[in-house]
Amino acid sequence: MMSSDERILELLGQASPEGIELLYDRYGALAFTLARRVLDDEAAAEDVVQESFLSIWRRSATFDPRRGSLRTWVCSIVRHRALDRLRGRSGRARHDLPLELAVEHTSISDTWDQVSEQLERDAVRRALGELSPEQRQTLELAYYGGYSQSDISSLMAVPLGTVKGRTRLALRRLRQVLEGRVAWEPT
Amino acid sequence: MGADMTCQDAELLLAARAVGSLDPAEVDPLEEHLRRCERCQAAVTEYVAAADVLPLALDPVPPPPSLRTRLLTQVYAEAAAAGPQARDRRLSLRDGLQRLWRGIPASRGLTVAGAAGAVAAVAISWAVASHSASSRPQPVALQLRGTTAVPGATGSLTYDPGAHSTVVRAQGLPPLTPQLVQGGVSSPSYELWLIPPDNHPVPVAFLSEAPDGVTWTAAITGRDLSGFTTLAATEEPSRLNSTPQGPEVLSAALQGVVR
Repeated sequence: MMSSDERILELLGQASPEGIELLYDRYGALAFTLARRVLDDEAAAEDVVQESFLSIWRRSATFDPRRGSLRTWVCSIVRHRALDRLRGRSGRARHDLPLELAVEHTSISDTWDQVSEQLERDAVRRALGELSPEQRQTLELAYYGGYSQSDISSLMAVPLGTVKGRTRLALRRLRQVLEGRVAWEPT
Repeated sequence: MGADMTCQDAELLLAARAVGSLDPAEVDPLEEHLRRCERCQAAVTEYVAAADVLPLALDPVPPPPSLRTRLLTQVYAEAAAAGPQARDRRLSLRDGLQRLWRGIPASRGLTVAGAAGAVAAVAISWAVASHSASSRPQPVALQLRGTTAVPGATGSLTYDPGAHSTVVRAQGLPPLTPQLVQGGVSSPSYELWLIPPDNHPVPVAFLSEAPDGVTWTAAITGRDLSGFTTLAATEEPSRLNSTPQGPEVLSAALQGVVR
């Protein structure tokens, strides 16, 4: 049985507008949440999400399965457009990003998809909670702020090597916790 | 670091690559190494998978329903404009409208976001209908004319009496610019009205700007135009008015033409 993502990719490959409709219904909320997080502006986030999905529709963005899942692809497009828009603004005022600690969140849902997503969300938050505050902030500055390693080194007043190490350890630890593994070695 | 980048050097950069924080000078040397090293390519997948979950930790913020209808309006309109490819798809008017009704606000019957999204379905259904028996009423095409407010505006409407569906296209309309007003920002719009014999305009849709930046389109579905005398477009200061507030920019006489 074809998965939702497979069905979406099949429709997109056929240049069917239904593919975009299904893609938006599946990932639109996540895309909007991500864009809003980066831009801190709902109207701008709407524009970015619309532009992102239109770019997918118009084939200017093509999916490469080697680079990750459909969700990764959509989030990557949205994030890059949001960061481009952020950089286009005069005067960045994002030097003091708050540490986003994992927050326990409960909700009542009536569909398996919503339950599954909430479980995954809770797991990710718990995993982030296992990182040090400095590791979390490094990830935040990179992923949501669009800062380079050198920028982060300046912002956090730590050596560049420390930033590289924190980023690497943070992602490895995140992966370990989510997969329930004690240690992960690159193959 | 350069073409001689080691796996140890590369691995320090893979995580940064996954979260998009590589320094510019590191990009090319790393990509060159990845092209040659399957081990590091595999590691990239792991780091990307880890970074992939970061947005899931955010508190979900639901997008406004208007975003969905605005996006799909444009997508379906572009699909319809694509020509034979769009007409060959077995997409019924009813199926298209049913999908678009999801998430469309109950007010206005059809906003341009939802209604114009049926342009593709309308165009496709007409292509299918053209191959069927001729007992179906033929579409009616009318010209829209600019007014003294915008004399250079032109347009057309195509009405399908059988489906009670109308596609409106316009050109020559000035771009709309948000205005500062007391209390905030006003977002003007071009709104379509059907004028009945009693001269009480009925709001039916908003014109949506096509990607070419020149054409404005809208679709009106579920409206029998034979009961109206005129279709008019006005420039409205907002989308909240129940009666026209701004100047008329386009109009077409329906009485005697549409039966």
